[in-house]
Amino acid sequence: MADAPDETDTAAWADMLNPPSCGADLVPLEAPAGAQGRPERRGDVDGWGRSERMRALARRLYQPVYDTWFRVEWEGLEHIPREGGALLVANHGGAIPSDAPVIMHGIESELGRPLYGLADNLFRSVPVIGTLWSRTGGVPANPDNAYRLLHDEQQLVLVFPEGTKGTGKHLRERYQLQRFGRGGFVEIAMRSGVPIVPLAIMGNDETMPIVWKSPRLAKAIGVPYVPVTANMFLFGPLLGLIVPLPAKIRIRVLPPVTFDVASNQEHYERALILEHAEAIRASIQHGVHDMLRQRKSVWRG
Amino acid sequence: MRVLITGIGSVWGSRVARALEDLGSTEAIIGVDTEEPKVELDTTEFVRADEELSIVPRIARATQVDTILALHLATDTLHVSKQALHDRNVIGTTNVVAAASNDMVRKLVVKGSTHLYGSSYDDPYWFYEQTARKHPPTDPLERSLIEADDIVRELGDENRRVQVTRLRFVDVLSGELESPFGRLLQLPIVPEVLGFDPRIQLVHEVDAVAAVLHATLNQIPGVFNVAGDGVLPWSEVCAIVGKRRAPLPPLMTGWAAAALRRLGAPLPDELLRVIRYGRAVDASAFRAAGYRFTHTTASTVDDFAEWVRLHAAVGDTEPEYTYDHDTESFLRRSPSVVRD
Repeated sequence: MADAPDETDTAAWADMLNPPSCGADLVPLEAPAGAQGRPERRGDVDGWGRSERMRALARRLYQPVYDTWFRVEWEGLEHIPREGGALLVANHGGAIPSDAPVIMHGIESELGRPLYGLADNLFRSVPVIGTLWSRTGGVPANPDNAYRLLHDEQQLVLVFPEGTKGTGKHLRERYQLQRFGRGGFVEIAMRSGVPIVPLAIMGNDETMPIVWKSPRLAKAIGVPYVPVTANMFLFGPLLGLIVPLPAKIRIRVLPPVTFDVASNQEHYERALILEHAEAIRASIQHGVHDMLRQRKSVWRG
Repeated sequence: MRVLITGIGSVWGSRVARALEDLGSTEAIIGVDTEEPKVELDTTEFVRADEELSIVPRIARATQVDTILALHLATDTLHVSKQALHDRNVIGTTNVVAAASNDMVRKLVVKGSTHLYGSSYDDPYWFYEQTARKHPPTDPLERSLIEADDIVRELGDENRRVQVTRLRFVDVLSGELESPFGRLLQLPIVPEVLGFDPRIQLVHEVDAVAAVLHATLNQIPGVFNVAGDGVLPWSEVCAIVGKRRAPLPPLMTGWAAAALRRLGAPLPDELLRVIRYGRAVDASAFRAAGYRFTHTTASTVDDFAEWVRLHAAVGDTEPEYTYDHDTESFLRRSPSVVRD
């Protein structure tokens, strides 16, 4: 082997081994644009697997559902920050919930900024669906992921603290908010130093209401719930799993909650976390009740 | 600086030795491995060792080296048997740590691998150096890497005299340096797992070598991920290299891969995991330690694509170097050779 190829390499090493200023190139991670000034990435899939092209396509396909099926209406959109990170927290409902796509569609169309939706890790392990979910803005609900999105990248992130407890509710229990986990979402927001924006949604619990479930069967096959939904009586067992009922969806954005604690702490007081989580849950519950009080019809709102 | 390099028989190890020679600040370089160096070296002395590197402590004492670069870790299960994996990674590392415990050694730099983080559906998208595993290791490679990492970490904790730097590299992609991803992407049709298109992160060969040099020439004790910036979907990596993909079944993927392996497909289990769930690490700690990457994940793939095109047209452009003991010792020791 001749010396020629090594010479350029050595020059590169020598160059790298004497950095102009140590630690200056920290976050944001601005990469040198390739060796010969090439763009850093060519596709539009970002570090989270989200593709803006796929989102745009999804928005185009979802627009009729959003406009004519659910006839979504928002109140208080001005509470959602136009820039900087924020954690959007909402109530969850419907056996296969429509609230996540509705909120993501609405925020992205109205504010023109991306919204990442946190969901169960299990999504990632399902072929095709996991990939589509990731391309359209889904991210596994992992504290590290949430912190990086909120703190490092200052993005909008959506989370449903009730998880499958919210979507697995029986029709009888509609609009009764379930436990908000152990308040992990509050801790993440505190650590990231971002506000929480509570969203109260009405209509989602009637899009796919569960009329019967089999806990034993669910346990046997290892899924959160095996439901029989009202949709199945209307559309048949297969189509009923996909097509929601056209309940009117109304979303009220509540004033942002900020925390009077320092960000990036190792540890936050458990009592304080639970107190905030409970207060946020109560405010969303109150918002939902308030909208229900004014609702004249499930379908027409 | 007197340096001992384990694993000099790899292209990676040889290149590090070559770069140290070129930088000229070393008094002596001794390379140890089961195989000969792959790059022509001027002053580096090569000593053959067994798989367990059992002679390393003796050589380190005899040569009074102050710096040990442990680049011997095997991460390619296609070439290394289960037993050899344990011998080289665990026993070999133990011997290196024993060598580093003598009074002369001041610095130990260890090449590790991000394969030790595993890759599972419930892992975070970005691994930090301190991210804990959620599941116990599933195969001999991961087990050996974790054990080796623990052995080195203990030395760093116990022995304050030796400065220990642990580098964890993501998969290297390069034409010149044989790598698992490189082999996969040279197939006429590249496998994917049906319905999965994970985030892939790679590091360039130049960065792989330069990262070791950076840790050698600077005082940066600790553990650092080394990875090109950014991630690319597997589909895009294949597209840049200009390859079509063929799906493996999402269920019983391991069996399908084992069958393909029998037919000669370079599909080790650890790669199978990565093309299913992907893996990316955060390398900002290494950047904060002053290292500037020359390549991102995307430019690494670009360079590889160029190499593949060149290779397809003209074959090997560089004559392969073969180490010959007699010639090398003549060049180093004969009084007839004119040295300046």
